[in-house]
Amino acid sequence: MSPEPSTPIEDRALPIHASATNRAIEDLYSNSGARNYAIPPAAFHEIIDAVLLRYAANLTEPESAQLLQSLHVEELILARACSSGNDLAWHEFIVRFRAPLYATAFRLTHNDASARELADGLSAELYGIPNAQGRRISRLDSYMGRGSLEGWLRTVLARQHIDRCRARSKEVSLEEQVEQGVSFAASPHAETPTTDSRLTAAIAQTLAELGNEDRFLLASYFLDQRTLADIGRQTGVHESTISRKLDKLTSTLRKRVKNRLQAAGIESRRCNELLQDLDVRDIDVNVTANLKQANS
Amino acid sequence: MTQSKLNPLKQQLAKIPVVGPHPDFDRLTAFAEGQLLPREREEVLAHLATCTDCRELLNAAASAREIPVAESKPFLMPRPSRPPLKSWLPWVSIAATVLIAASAVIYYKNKNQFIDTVVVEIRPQPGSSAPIQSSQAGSAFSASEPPAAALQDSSAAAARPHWRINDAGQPQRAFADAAWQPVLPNETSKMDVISVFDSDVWIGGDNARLFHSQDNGTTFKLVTLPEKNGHQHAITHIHFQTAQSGKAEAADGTTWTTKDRGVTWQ
Repeated sequence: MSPEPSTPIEDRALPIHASATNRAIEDLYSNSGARNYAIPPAAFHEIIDAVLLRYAANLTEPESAQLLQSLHVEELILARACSSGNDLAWHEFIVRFRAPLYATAFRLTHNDASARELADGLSAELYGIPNAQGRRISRLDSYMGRGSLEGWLRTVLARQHIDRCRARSKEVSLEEQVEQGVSFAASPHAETPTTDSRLTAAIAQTLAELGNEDRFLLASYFLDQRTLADIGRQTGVHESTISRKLDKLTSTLRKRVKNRLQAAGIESRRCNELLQDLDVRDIDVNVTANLKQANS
Repeated sequence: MTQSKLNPLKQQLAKIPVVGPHPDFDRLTAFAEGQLLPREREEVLAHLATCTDCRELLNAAASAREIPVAESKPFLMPRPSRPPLKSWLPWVSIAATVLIAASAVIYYKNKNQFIDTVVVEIRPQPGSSAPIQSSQAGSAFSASEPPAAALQDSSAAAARPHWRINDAGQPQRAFADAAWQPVLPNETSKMDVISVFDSDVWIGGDNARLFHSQDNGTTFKLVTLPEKNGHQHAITHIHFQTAQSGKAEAADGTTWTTKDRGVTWQ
């Protein structure tokens, strides 16, 4: 995954804004704190233009205005001032974000040394790594102010943590994994009963009809095995709301799949048997299977 | 050993091809913070629904967020019963009130009470009208006129009212151990939630009724929410991150947000 576009701002044509957008940018300047870091209005305009170029290319003017209003412009300017080497900005950044950065790293790694290593690594990237021409390129240049700077740092740290975990798991040999007690599942091909093709077709058609949010909820809950609280945290919605939505969604899904199966000529009793597989998450299936095995 | 059949729903979900490019860190952060434009949010959702990698990142970032005290288990506590008052209890009560008044979130959910340090959110419990916190001794007074004793108290927290919603769905307020007084006596809709942020009090309930007080519940104004999917929403959650910025959520998932202390809602 390479989410950060690499085209330098100066290589792109700057957009020509409607006068309302220009006025909005001028208004933003006074609240941005840019004067504190000696960033003139013209440079401020360029920074905002880069944001609009990336995110507002397909937006209407009211949407662009809404986007401008939602920008974390003060943090965006702080990030740009830091990346240009402003000492005052760095002081401000360290005071506000150093402790949260290390705390976030600890919550990700659950280990003091790993947390320090992770946070120090990102801190170095934020300060800037010299390129071939000797110019420092700061990671903060890619912050665009759409979300909070603390949230952005958290997302970047989370990405780096995931990448590190994956790299580390590749480095561990199979023998070491066995020694650590990792068990490997048998190949599922041999004895796994095949799913009725009419059921899979009905599910696929029904999923295609659902909205993006519904598919996201289903994928998070059934595929990723996330808890309601996890999904609630991810979306900023209370977990009881997630629970209600999922209940309604699975009920709708079952009804529609059943209708499709019946339309395909399958009798109701058989439909219900097939739909039993939709009721539980795999963890439940495995627990049930294991319990049966233990009793036999 | 017979192997269990793979969940066909999981199989089909996993087969859906990835939609669109990966959102960048800014967009993903803004998505998690609810700050994307509706159209962008749909685009990101369409991608997230099909990209395990981005869902994993979103989950990792969300789990690394500072856990509000309300979500941490040590603060889970059962609904408080009211033991006989002992001489030192009022002081414990005052200390607790100061802590909570500084900033607290209390969620009533099932039989548990969640406490945070920013906001108080109260919902009625079936068959019970217990207050959100223990009270200290004091004389009865009306909701619209706090007693002189409370006003003269050097601790501002001591004059902070207690809130509850009774079994009939009426929001009530009390100072210290004084009698509970209804704050919306003429309101006929059943109220479902109270949220307190410093001196701001928000009360939401059936028929999308939302009331706001800026003076600890002495006076309330009815807030008109913009229509979304009809008028029959029951407001069940209200959460303010700051005095200015907050969210009201209906039972059916419809949400309204404000960034100007409830002057305008979207």
